[in-house]
Amino acid sequence: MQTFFFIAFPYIALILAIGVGLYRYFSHRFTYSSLSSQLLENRHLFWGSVSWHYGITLILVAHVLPWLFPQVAEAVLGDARRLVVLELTGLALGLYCVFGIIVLIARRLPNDSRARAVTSPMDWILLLVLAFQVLSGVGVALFERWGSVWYLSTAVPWLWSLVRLHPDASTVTGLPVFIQAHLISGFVVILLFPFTRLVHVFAIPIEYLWRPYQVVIWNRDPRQPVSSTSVKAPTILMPTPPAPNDLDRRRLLVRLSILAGSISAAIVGIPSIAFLLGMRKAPEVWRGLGAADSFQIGQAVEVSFLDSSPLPWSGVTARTAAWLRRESPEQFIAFAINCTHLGCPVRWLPNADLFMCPCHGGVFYKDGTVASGPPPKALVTYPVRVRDGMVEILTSPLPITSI
Amino acid sequence: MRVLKQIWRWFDDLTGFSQSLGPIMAHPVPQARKTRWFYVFGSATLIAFLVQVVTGIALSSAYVTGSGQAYDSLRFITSSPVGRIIRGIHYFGASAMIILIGLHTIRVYLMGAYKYPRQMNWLTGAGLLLFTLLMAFTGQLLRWDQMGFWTAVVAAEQAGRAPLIGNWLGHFLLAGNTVGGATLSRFFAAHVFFLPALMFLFIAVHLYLVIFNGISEPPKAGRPVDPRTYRRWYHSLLEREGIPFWPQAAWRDVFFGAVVVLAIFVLALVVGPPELGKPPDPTIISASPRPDWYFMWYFALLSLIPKWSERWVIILGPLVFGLFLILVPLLGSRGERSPLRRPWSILIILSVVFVIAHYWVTTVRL
Repeated sequence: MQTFFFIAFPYIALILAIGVGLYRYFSHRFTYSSLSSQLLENRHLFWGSVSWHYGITLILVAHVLPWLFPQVAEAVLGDARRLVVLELTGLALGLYCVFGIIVLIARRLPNDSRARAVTSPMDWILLLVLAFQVLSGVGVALFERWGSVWYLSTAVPWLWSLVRLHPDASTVTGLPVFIQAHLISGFVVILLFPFTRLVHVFAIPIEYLWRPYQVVIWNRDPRQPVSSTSVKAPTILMPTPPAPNDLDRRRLLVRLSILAGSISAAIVGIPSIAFLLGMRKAPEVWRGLGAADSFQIGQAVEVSFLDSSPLPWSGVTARTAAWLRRESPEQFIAFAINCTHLGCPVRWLPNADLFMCPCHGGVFYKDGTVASGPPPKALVTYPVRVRDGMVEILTSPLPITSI
Repeated sequence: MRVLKQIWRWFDDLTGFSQSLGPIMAHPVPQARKTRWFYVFGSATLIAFLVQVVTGIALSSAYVTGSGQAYDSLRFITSSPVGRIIRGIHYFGASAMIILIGLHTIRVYLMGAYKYPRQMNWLTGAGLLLFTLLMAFTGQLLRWDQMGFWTAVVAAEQAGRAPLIGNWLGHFLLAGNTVGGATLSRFFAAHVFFLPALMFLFIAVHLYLVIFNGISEPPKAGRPVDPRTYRRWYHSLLEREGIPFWPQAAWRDVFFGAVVVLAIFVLALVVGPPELGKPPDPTIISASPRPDWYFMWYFALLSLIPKWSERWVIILGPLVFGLFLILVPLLGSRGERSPLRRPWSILIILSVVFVIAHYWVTTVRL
């Protein structure tokens, strides 16, 4: 169950959010709006909307920044005073949001409210989920204190494991249930994105900041109550969603089929691609090469050792080779055998004191620097150490020259 | 004989093949006159591909996809006389396919057959050319002797030159930090499933387009393509002097294809498959990796060009080539088709052939 909620569900939410979001953007671009009800009801909206939007924006920034820069966050929170100030600020902003969302819900509640008339079932779901999200967030801040610190070692590694396509929920599965609920409902919000007016996040009219201001002039006194006859006027302005049976039935069916097909393709395709992309990071291990005294000073010899994590069927390919030279009784140097040009194996020419590549004639001096030919940089060295009289080498990835 | 005929009638009654496919087989095509033998390279490429499919399936029935065992399984295949021939056919089939798709591309380019309405024919063909080169590269790797092993390393190093993602891409190709157990399986999947699936798809579209747009008529200097009138003119040409594709035009394809298959078989019998080198042991340093002949010129080019230009050649070279293939039909979709009125096309082909031949000859001397 936790595998579903913490591994499968986030991906489903993201895929749907991006896929349906893009679909909606390209097919119903004009629905990318907040469907503002400001013209219908403005008194409560001001208090609700302003508190909500300022609060939630800052709270979101406080969630995203430590996720992006965990090390910085750790350094900042290392100081107890800074931690207290930050937690208190966060709690205050959270309460600010709670106030805002309560006002926003309340203004849509009364039966005779004009805002209620334009509220769709999806809006109610969105409002409830958002309310749950901020309430549970405030709850976490109150009852599981110092969340800004443990966030870094629980949710952050989990979120990054999702990004890396190596989902690992082990850091969050042990958390109290209501914290887990906060995490999951966060992805519910992401899931709701393309299906609700939440898409307006991507349609913020920032150009309002620098465009010339407009003056709105009412041709009636806006403070006067509107007579019942003119109530109908705004209903014409209301962007009422078309009922399904008004839609062209064929177009609907085509779109449903495309959606169903895309979801099926994603279900099959995404795990396959993730499996293909997923590469297990091999740990680096020290491998013994032999007694230090068995190597003559000044002589480069070929040594071979096992990869850090050979597979049972690797056979001879599990081995790696390197050129090892004893510089002094205590000092060893190991070069990768791969030419930095295109990876061919270089040979040691003892009489000339040079490494030579058979592919394109690259030549390296005994210290690994380029003598001539196409190689762009010196031979790569592997870390070597002497321990209890034994030479050991650190297994390393195949050196790939990149620009 | 009569029984066979009855069976065919029964089968045809149920499938309707002679009604649905018959007209397609016999659809009229323009007479190619003097250039009629230039039209066989495309179908011969297809025949070489089918040779590869059949022998490839046979080989895969004994090949072991494991970095540790592939080499031994190939020794086992080669030790049986028939296995040896199959490997030879697969090798020379690959060589034939490379040569034929090259000739086909040159023929289509010189004759301007990619112009309206056949731009999509060209683009799908460009995809097939790319896939064929990738198949050649991965196939050489699957031989998994010392050369195959170092081919994987060189592939990763070349991919490593890509900006930003180079290092990741290189290790993605190797499926890990070093060449190991996972590497061969990855290239096997690409060579046996992924690329062939794409090729079948592209071939299907390519053939469909050949039927839909019709085979291009031989170009004539002073008869430019005008998209507004071309289709109508082409149909009137077919009505005037078209000949049925099967068998009046297609017999040449069959004949030439048979010659190709025979040549592949004789070479496989007489010359045999490329010898397996030393085992794919990374610790045998006395290796001098060389690609198969079709990439030898590129291998030589990388050692002989000036050092400063190399990073550009490795990354931009293939990009420019790909871009050229894409832009050819998009920018030159109308106008003269005859090479006599398109001197640049002759110059481009000559210089490409000259560069490849030059570097290829250098390696033979090396």
